[in-house]
Amino acid sequence: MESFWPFSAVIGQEIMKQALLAVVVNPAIGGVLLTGEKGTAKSSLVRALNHLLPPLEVVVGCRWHCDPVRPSCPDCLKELRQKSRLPFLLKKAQLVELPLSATEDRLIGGLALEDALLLGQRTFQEGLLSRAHRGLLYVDEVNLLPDHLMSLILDAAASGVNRVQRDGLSLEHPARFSLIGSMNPEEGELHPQLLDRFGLCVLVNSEKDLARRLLILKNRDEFDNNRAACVKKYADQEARIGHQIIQAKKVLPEVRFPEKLLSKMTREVTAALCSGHRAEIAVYHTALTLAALADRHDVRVMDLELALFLALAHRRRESGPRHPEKPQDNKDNKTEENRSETSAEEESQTPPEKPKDNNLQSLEGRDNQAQAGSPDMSAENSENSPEIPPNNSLAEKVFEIGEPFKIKQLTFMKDRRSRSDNGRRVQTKTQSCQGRQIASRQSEDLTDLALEATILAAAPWQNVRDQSDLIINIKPMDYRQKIREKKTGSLLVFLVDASGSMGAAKRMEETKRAVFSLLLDAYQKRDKVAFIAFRGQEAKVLLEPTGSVERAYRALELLPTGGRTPLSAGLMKAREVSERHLRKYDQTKIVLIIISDCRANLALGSLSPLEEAFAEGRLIAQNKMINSLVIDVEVKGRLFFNYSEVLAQNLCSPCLTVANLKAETLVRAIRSEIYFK
Amino acid sequence: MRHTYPFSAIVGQDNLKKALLLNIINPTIGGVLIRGEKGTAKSTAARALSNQLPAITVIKGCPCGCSPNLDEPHCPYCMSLPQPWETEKRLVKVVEIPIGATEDRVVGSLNLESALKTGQRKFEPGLLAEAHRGILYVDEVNLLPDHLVDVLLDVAAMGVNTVEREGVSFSHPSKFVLVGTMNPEEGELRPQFLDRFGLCVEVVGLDDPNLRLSIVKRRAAFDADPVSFIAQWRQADQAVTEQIQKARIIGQNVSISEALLEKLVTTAIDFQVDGHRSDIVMFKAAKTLAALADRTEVTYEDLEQAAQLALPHRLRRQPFEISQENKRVIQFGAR
Repeated sequence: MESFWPFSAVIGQEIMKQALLAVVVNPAIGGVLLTGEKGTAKSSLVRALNHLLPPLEVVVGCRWHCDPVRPSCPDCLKELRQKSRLPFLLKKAQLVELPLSATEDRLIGGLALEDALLLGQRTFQEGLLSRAHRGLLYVDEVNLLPDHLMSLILDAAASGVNRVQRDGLSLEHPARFSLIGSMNPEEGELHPQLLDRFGLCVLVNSEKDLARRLLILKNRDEFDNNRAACVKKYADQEARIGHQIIQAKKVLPEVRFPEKLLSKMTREVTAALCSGHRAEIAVYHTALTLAALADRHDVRVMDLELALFLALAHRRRESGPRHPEKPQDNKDNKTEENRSETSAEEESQTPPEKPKDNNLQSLEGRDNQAQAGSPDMSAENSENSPEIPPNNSLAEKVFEIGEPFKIKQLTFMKDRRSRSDNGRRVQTKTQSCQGRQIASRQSEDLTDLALEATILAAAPWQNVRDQSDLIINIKPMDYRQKIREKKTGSLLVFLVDASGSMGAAKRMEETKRAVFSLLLDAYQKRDKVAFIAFRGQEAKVLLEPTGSVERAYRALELLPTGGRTPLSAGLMKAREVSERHLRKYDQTKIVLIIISDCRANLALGSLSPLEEAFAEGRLIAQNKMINSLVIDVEVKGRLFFNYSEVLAQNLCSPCLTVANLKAETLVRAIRSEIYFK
Repeated sequence: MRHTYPFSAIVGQDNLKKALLLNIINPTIGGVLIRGEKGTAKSTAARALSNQLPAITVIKGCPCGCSPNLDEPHCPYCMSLPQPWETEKRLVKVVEIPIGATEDRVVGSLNLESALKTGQRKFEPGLLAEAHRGILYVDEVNLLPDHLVDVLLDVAAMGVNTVEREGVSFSHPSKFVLVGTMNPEEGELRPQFLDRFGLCVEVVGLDDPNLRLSIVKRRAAFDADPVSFIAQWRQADQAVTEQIQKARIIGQNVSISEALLEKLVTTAIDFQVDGHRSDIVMFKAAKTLAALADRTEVTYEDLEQAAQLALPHRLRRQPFEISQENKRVIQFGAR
């Protein structure tokens, strides 16, 4: 279907174009990840590549399209030992697209149905990995790729081989491909392991320049009105880029990397504190390829700088220097004719920040508060903040919500229980006919039949079974049922201490900030939230369980502080809300998040306020569907009580401070997860 | 057969009706998201659209309803047919994705009959194929399960559905006007998905007691005797259809002045909208608005109205920052 944009018709985005061309020319770079705002021609550019891919030399008759000089399949290797040269023909490299809805058998390949049924033979039907060998594998919205597909890709990308052990087939074939992914970080992060697989990473931004934005608009209009004419108009430029790629491939083996620049490269990469050595390898190959694309035989400083910029964007750790040296304004010594006159400016515009910063875009108009809430506040302020006795501050006050921070992963174990709720936090098997099919199993039950698996199971028996007018005779032993998986959300019950003691030393601000951040996280995971505050004489349910996180935010914003601390009343209310919810949705996971300094000073019964709270905590701990988490906001000055720790022990829950709620500053290299129970 | 409430009999909700009409006149605008409380004619209006749609020419037998126009993309089925293609006329389809739909029905899957009878793997087109050149309607779109949203994201942007499942590999064009309704009380849409909707209208219940009364009366009349109620409104509906056809013709010749174009782009930059989709949508909506008003020149008001339809849901904000803040009316002022 020839419906896509020509590559050269995309205005601006020069860095993205360079990165894509480099990956096409040199597979050793290891693919590229495009991350950034929606509507910035990410997918259009990748798909436009399809027309530009150079022809490959392919061994005649080899089903895995082996390279005639360095074949990788056993047949070709054997033949090469006998003959000095293998006959080859030219075949276009492929851009293979992996849709998110793909099934496993299409990705790695499976049993060929026709052969099984009509001939009774087990033959292999090639999957996408085989088609992508020596080409490109493109995954749009790669951060949404289901886990079971992702692990298959990771495995193949790491080994360069696709091993098939399924449907009674056992074989392996070479699968070396450049992975291209595009994503919008708003939708959640990419798995760190997959992130590292991408040699390069481009942060894509929209054009902010008026004139160029106008040009984009007009261009697009022209394209929509007359596709054919537009494609024709760019045919020349497309041909030139195609030629540039072929030329670059030819030049590439001869490009030299000056010793001086090599040592500069190692210095830079070391300074960026990247984990592992994949970074150097990516920088090295990218610099060589960029020089080749410019038809030069030696790597220059600007090649190296752009290479560093592209290869370190997703690997740099925060403690390193703020950003890599920006690619110089290399307008003058640019040799590629195809570059539009705007490219240099474009390069300097792309902010060299880490991709994960993107979804923490500061709220407009909240900047001043961002200053107030410096990230390490809870640790730093602790020494000199005077303690104000709780009963001194009965006056009410409404504190502002500060800047959100990134919550570290609160992941729960995938369990064996089947659930029916929607959401994204917990992965679960599901029994209703919803969710993604991940596998199939033998079952006499005819509901949710995995048709293809059933037919495949029956196919080998057809020679001995009686077939009347149908071509296939299926017996109950062949039935295969779909195993589906989906992610369910949980209910987050926020129990927030709004008593007077929380007004001291910015505790409430810090609390609101923490809750806000947790809410953001809840939004991304599609959790439900409920919101309970306790202050004065009682605990109040400000928000019954709802999917609208927006409402929770409003409740949080309007939450006043002041009065005494009826902790036990709060806990009781939380248990009430949770249990009520469980009665209706008995399979939801409930996470009770208690944010307080736990200085209870009001009891409901005859026990002391603290004793009562602890007893209530033990009661909650008895309910296995409720997981709790205590966030201690007590300021650890000269005098502190650590009641939160004790409460957490009674609840059998972890006790965290706001500081250790925050996500690691490293590029998620360390994945520390909290497993609740 | 179920009777559909006539489009022109809907009281008030002019913005909603206008947004829907714009999309029918120019399907490349990219659909509309209807946000609002329960019982504000959201679904009624969307469903009523089907009566307003003019007929299209399709290739005979094509599961996707491909157009015989050679410039348009075609599905592999059509490509395998000998040219010139046989054509036929049919009405534009309104295809609804229910919340409980399974992925294989949405994107398409293996054809059971062919697999069983002949042992051949054949593609069984799904809802996305059916919706090609028509309207894809999702009621309560914010409750759509994630894995279905993931699928729609890509198809809605590229207009192509690539299927790689259950041993079938198939790719067909799937361009549709995406119409979704939602009640924001039940949670928001994912930002990426939000961006796929060209326009967004906010509907509220009417305050005027007289209008409310006429809603009740009309609804009661429809429920009592749908056939004669529809007949009664047929002429008005017909007029709307004619208006659509006329606007389609005028729409090809609408021009926009350089100054307004600049204004348009500056607005998008000022509001710090992500990406370029907003510019394109605003541009198209403004042109179509002019065409709808029987003009061949885009006016300032057209542009302002287009911005109000295309920008609010694209304003950059935290996922659940209070929406009131963003409802600040989008006006260009006299700058």
